[in-house]
Amino acid sequence: MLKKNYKKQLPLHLMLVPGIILVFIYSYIPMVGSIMAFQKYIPSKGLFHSKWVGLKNFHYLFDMPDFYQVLWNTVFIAVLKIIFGLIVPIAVAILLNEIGKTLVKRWIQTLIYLPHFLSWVILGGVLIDILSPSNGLVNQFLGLFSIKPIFFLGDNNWFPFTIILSDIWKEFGFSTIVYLAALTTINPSLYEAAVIDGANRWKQTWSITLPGILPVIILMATLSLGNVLNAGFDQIFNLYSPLVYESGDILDTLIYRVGLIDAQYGVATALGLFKSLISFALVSISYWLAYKIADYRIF
Amino acid sequence: MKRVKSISFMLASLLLISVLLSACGQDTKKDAATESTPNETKQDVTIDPLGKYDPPIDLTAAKFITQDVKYPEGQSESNNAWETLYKDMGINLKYDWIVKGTDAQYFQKLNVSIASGEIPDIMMVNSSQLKQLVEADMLEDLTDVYTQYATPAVKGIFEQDPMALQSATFDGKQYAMPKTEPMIGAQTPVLWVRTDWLKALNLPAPKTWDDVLKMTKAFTTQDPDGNGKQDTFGVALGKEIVNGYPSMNGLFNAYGAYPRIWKKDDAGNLVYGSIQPEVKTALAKLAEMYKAGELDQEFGVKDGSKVAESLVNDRVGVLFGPSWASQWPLQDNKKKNNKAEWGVYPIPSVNGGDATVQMPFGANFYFVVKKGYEHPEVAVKMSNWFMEKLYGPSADYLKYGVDSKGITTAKYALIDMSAPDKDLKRAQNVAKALSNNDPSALNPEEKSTYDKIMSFREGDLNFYGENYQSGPEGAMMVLQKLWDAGKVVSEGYGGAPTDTMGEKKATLDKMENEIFTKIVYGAASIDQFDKFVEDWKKLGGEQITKEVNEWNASQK
Amino acid sequence: MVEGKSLGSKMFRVFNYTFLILLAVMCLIPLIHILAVSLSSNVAASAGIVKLWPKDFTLKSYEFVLSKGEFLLSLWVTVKRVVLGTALSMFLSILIAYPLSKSGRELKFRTGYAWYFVFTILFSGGLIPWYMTIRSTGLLDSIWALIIPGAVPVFNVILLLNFYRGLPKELEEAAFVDGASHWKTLWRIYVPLSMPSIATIGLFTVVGHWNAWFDGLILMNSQDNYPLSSYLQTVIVQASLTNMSAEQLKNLATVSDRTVKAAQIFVGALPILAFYPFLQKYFVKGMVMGGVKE
Repeated sequence: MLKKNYKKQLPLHLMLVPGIILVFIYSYIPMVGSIMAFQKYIPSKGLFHSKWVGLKNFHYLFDMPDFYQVLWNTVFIAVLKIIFGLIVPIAVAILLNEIGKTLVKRWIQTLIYLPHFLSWVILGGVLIDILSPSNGLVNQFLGLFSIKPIFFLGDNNWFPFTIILSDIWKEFGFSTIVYLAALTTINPSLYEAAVIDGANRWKQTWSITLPGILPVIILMATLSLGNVLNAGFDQIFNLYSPLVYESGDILDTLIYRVGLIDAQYGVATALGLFKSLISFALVSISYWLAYKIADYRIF
Repeated sequence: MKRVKSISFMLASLLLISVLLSACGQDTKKDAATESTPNETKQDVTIDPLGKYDPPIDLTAAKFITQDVKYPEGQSESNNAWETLYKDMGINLKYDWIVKGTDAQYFQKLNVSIASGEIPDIMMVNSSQLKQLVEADMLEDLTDVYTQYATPAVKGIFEQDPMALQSATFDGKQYAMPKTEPMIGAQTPVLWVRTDWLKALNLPAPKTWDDVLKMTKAFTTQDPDGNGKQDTFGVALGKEIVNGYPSMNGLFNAYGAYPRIWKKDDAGNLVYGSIQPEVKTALAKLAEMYKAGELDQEFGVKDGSKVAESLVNDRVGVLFGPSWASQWPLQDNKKKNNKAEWGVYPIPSVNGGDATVQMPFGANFYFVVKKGYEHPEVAVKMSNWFMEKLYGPSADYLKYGVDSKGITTAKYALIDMSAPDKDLKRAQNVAKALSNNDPSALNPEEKSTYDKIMSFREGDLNFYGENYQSGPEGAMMVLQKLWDAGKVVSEGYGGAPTDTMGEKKATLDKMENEIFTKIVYGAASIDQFDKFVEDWKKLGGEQITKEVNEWNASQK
Repeated sequence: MVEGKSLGSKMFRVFNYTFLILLAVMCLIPLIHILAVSLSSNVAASAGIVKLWPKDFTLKSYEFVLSKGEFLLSLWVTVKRVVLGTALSMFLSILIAYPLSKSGRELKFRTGYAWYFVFTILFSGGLIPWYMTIRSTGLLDSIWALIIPGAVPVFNVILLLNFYRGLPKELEEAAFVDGASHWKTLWRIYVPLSMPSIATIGLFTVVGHWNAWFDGLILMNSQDNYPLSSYLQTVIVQASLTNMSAEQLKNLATVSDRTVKAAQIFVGALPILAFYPFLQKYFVKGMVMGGVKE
């Protein structure tokens, strides 16, 4: 029995070997570098001979006068991005699924995926125009409903939401793809049976479509938890200004500006480690909960 | 099963060990090379500042090429006038890597190079990298080779700007050749005005600060472009109020304020410009102007190219800008609207007369040699060759400077530098030649400017910018006047970022940007400025001031 | 889904079409703007008056871009990168996801293996050690530096293993009864039945390789080896104006030609935009079940 099992499992283990080796070399070996977070790293001395400074780099980070404000901005923007970054693509995927005409569906799919390919360097300039309070499209549109012009990129009350919304707009089309793929795995006969039972569209969505793609939803939700401290450096870097530092400065932009003046390897690594630990904790907890409550292994 | 696992583990650990070993191996090899470099060999070599290496030497380098560099037909990065010269001089130049792009991209790659402990023999660094490399003891001391090898032409440059050399000196040792630039033309603000608008509104050319204020108001409220719409405003401004493009440095200077630079007070101590009371007055004025609609209401989110749109599109009449603003974006404005006319003036001071204007430090970049490299004097010799081939007795400007088609071949040189007054001198000589109708005394560089201005006079708008930058009615002439009158003040701190700067400056700069912008927007009252000054001192500014003045004292 | 014929479902359909089409138009606007700028005169572009329709129509910027050796060279590097990188990554993803999709009973240490991979999404050693590792393995300045270090796209593996799990067990068991090996089962049964999800992660891999620019800038030692997106970064990003001399700034101003930038962005995005519609034929409903029925 044991031997048979072994023989049967061996090919499965072997299939993993190339991946394990590659990941070991290019992901695990560099992780040794995390010890920089506890060093004053000097290039000529290298990783193993630089001076150890204990938690000094972390203290530096946490003692920055605006650290907690910046941390809050980061979490606020990142969490809302995670939530809407899940809901919107799922909703759009389901709506797209309702479109019968294949050609229309394919066109829409293709068009909504376009913005993903424009970098924030480029979109930054376009957004400043579109969102301008004086002559931007959006405010002209709002003007039709006699809403006073809003300074989306210059007002601390609006800036985080502008960031979240524009990010969702840029990425929802691309994120939709994975749910569209999940939808293809649902057995069409389930719908036929439901129609015979007299279930309407809503009911079909709730009782067949959503459960059908639930594993993928849970997986995407869990993995996106890893981004709870990533609010999107490129986007914010290209859209923010001193006017909205208060609501828009995030951990990554903060460290970027520190690094411009002095190359602080230790501090940047400490921030990275801090972010990784938080993500790791969140992902592990949700993995564990899913296993304990539903006996389900997310991955 | 167990066996499989242990095999994969063995494989993995073998790999790890080999990677680590190879890394260590490299390190030890490097150390050995460093130690085995005998210093005595250098004594045998006769000192010939311009001479060639025989036998040839090997040299590895990193190279930065700006986005705009072009090559004449048949030439390339690795095959051009300068590469040939280096080869003829007995240098086997090999590039470890080349970045053609922005300076930020170059320095990012260099940062990775430095941090991973593997740098080329010769390279260009910025001031924070210079400090880092000196502290890590990775650079060759150039003090002796500089005094021995530098030609009078090269020494002359650093005599004009002694601060540049000081900034490359740590504990009395010179670790770099500073890349000096004529910064006066780069950032020093002058006053650009739409003179056709002045005429349309019957306003005088700006002589006093009151004239300027009247002008900005009139440009906002009196419809200078005559299109019947209230769609123009007074002054161009982008999201960085200080040191951006366009910034308000010029306006601050009019009020006797010098933000973001260290300036000597009457006692000779360095004080930080941004926290002086004059800044408060200037900010109050800016807030007033913003409220009156004289500034772009959305300036806070606009970068340079967005502001340029307003300038090109006939929406702004005044720009506190550098000398090259005429080339971009004002030239585009002229091309779009032929009626547009820009004039350039010195900025009047609130106290009457011309304001003293600020200019940044004269050297942002440095050329350094890796510790242990056998021929550190090569950095000095390359500087020598550069000055010699462009301006010396054996100069061939068309080959090494700017070719007959106007392509700047000087950019291919690995090490380059310019006399701080180069741009000013050129404008003077060109003006003289234009008034005598005789370009024969001009050097080739000046001659090309002369030709461009002649083309402009014949109606070629592609040289509108050149004319108003370096021509007789251009910005350089204005700057020369200020320079002669001693009305240009330069950054007074020439050292590398101090320890506290490294730790706190990012926070302090953020605070400063934020509060300045908010005050102008009216989102914070002007009295918040006093609180900012207090916070600035408390959060590390005081300590920085101390360190800066220690440096200052050590320079005497 | 089965179409209803009631009034309610008609209204829903009208709403649905309108809503999605509006959404699609919103996503199209920036690209049209970039196209319009690329077809306008430089002065009009720098005045910011080009919105969605070209002003002073000209093809000059396209002539310039397409005659530029650097642009085409980097496009070629990207093509190589995408083809080689996708082939390798897809092979590894398909291979690794298979054992991981098994239960803990079928594969000992399954959960441990899964975490071994997921862990690398969450933790990284940072830029410098990553660079040093790639240097020590001798990949620097070669196309393999852009392919091998990221050859195992863990996210895609995890996604694919979730799709594999959804496949009906009966097929697999039937194959084993017929004496098929794991290897055969994977390629003969799993892969053909997972085409929608393989197409999805294939798309992710292609797009990932196409868009990646940072590794190119750091790992390549000369522009000749830059992939297109790295090259575009060096062209599009505005250099900082404060550190330069007047001479440099003057020259820079003459190249900060917005129409040319826009043309490069547009030409650079075109191939990848055309790629997706090509893949869409794999997103067919009920494909998996079709396999079970026969």
